[in-house]
Amino acid sequence: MSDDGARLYEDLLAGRVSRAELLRRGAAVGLGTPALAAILAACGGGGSAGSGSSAPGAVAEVGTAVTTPAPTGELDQLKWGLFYEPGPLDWIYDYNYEENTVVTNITESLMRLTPQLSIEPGLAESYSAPDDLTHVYTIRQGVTFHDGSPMTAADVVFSMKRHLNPNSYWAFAYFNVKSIEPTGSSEVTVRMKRPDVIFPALMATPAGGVGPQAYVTAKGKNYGTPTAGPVGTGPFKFTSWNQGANITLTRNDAYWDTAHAPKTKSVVFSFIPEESTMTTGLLSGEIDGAYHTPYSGLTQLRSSSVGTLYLGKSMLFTVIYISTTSGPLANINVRKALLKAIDRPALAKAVYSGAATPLPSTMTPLGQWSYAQSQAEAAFQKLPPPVLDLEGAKKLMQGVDTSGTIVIATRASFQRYINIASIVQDAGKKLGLNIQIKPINPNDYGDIFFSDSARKGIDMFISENYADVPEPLETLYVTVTPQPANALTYNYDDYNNPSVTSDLQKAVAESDPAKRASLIIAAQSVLADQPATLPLVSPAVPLFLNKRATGAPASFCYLYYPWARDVGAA
Amino acid sequence: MTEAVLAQTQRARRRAIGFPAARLGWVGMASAVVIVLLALMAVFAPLIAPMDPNSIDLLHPFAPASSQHLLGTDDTGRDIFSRLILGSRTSLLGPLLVVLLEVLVGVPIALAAAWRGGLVDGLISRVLDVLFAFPGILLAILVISLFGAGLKSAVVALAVAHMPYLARITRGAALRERRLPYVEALEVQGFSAFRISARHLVPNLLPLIVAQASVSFGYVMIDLAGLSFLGLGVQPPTADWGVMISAGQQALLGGHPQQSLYAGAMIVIAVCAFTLFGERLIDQDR
Repeated sequence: MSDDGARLYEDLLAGRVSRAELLRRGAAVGLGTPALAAILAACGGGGSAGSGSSAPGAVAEVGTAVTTPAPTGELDQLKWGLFYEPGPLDWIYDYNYEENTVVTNITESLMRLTPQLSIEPGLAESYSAPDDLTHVYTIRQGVTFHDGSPMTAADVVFSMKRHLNPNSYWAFAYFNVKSIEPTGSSEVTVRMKRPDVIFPALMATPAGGVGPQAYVTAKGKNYGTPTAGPVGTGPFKFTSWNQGANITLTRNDAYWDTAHAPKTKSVVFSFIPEESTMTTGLLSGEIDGAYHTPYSGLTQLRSSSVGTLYLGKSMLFTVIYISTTSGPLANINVRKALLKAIDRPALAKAVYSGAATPLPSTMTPLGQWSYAQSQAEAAFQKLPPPVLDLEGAKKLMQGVDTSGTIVIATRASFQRYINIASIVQDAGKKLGLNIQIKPINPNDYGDIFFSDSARKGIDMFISENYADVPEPLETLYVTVTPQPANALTYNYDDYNNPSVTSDLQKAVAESDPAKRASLIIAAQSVLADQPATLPLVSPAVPLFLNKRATGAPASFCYLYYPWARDVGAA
Repeated sequence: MTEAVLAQTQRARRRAIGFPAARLGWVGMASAVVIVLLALMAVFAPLIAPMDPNSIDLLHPFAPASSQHLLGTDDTGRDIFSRLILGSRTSLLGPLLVVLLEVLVGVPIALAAAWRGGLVDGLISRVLDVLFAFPGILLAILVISLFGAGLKSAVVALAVAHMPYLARITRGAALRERRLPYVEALEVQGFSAFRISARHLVPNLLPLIVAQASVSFGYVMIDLAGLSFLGLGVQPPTADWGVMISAGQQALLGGHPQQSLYAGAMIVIAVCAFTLFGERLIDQDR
């Protein structure tokens, strides 16, 4: 691309030109129609926070970029920012942002999430499901681990069986698994107790991660820690972990996927927990890039001449989980009224610097739909629009007993959560509800999700949750249907609408995507009228790359896709 | 009691009653006026604040100063002026509670050490030495990590951290006072140690205690603001000057320094006023 073309491309991504202006100026600088189409495709419709303005009531998706311009050469070192120091880099314990951002470049999975947020074969050469209860994975041949040992079906079975241990953070994926057996030298078969369409999708996450049995067994509990780093088949090898400071990976020159050989010699991940420090580091060029950059700093990053801000296609959703079965929130009308009284478009603008799509009463943003997208989009538009309707909210509150205090938990020292809690408190006040904010120590906040005792005295709490895979059922099913003991659940208020439960139980067993989509959409429609949670917005994935580096995928795939292999010199 | 001894105790009491303006100087008086104004602002905050400090206006974040918002709005459209006024309550109440705890614990300990001497004095002095060895803010963070974040924990933690300073100074002054003839005369008359301390020693030491407490107030205010800034003290969204500095730090990069700037200015003004006032009191006592 010419310099003028590159500048034009950057202007489009930064929101400085419209798509129409791009076509006009593109022709003027000599870019042909294919080049312009490629630019628009890469942007997925414009990746800047400025995109998405629309008529009141309509929902325009913000953040649809999936890729960044391809690199032109090799990079010696990539300096990447993480907003906290990861825990152990053992795939069975990696179920959070920064752990997965790092480990996805080391330990690969049977399937893989793509930048377009679809699923393709990874370490499994192919996948088939002869019936609803059987999943067969043909293992790719000629793949070696970083320690030089070849990957075998035995390694795959060993790796999958590690999740049968309830200590695995991905144990929930195997809840319906009956057996995992090698059925050939390069074939592994998983048999299920009952049909579960979410299982094969989750094989694109660390639930399908593969490590060397001998090495992992030898290292025991130390595997994945700074003393015994992880070993996988990925494009980068673990090199060092300087606790409290950084993790360094180096290129795997024997990487099996030669068509996507890594273009960077080493990647240094620095831990930068403080938001303004992260923004300053990116603006000063001290860090080459970061995913999920602070939303509060997007205005500065957007106007920076140091690099480019991309707003990627996302599977994130900000939601308020209800965790009480009594008090005002047990009344469905109170939930609906609160949603109407929260100005979701204004929240998206003020709290997320415009880099979020207001959600119309659903927890399944369009980014989660890898199938039946037109069906999902049509259903999305029919949901009650996420507009402020204070009068409508007050009507719903007529005759409602507002006595008692509602406690909303928020992560202390986390300004975005604090601001959302303040907004909910203010909305409640307008409806006569007494909402108290309870700040929870950031280190203890995660306990709220998994411990009844941690939720004691808390009526609702804020979460920036995400779907791991582009399957809307993944988070929806465990949030709005009753779950058996020991299964993963986000259903904290014992929500059980017979129609929703019936539809979603059928959907989990439905292998036909179109039929599954219809069932989910039917449940979604009921949930819009009988909300189980308070869905607020779907934040885009902010990615900042300075002018040294390019090629990183822009979408939410970065948790389960070896993204660093695509980065090179700009 | 002899006339000389009586005069000694009465002179000391006169010293304790009132602080002549002329001896404070204009700096001391100006500081006193600022302190009174700040106290009035805190007491009457709900009446003075033009708007609800927690009222959100998402459509007008970072609004500039106007007749509606005298100092503009913050990132969620809250009125900064109203939050500054309401913020004076926790920002002043916290240090006040810390200083009260310092006095209630530190003065009796100091008097016990000065009166009993020997082993008791040695033991108390060594404990104070140990507490001195810990940086105040570090000790506070340690206590908060054990008992959880919040104003209560921060107040207790800072009271423990700052008490040794007041106790050490009070002990020194009490040792001098203990050796004066009037104390011996009172003991000869059969008055108990508690009565002599409560009725005579404390009133005579009061100017020094008040002066030291005033200086301490300033330091405590900075430490409390620091703890709130770190998310360990007053918890947002409560209006508090330390919290406001912390909440506004990201906006600083975005060219909206108002929230942090104004809250910081209030802390500077309050700390200067209390410190200068305290120093003038100490000068007067010499």
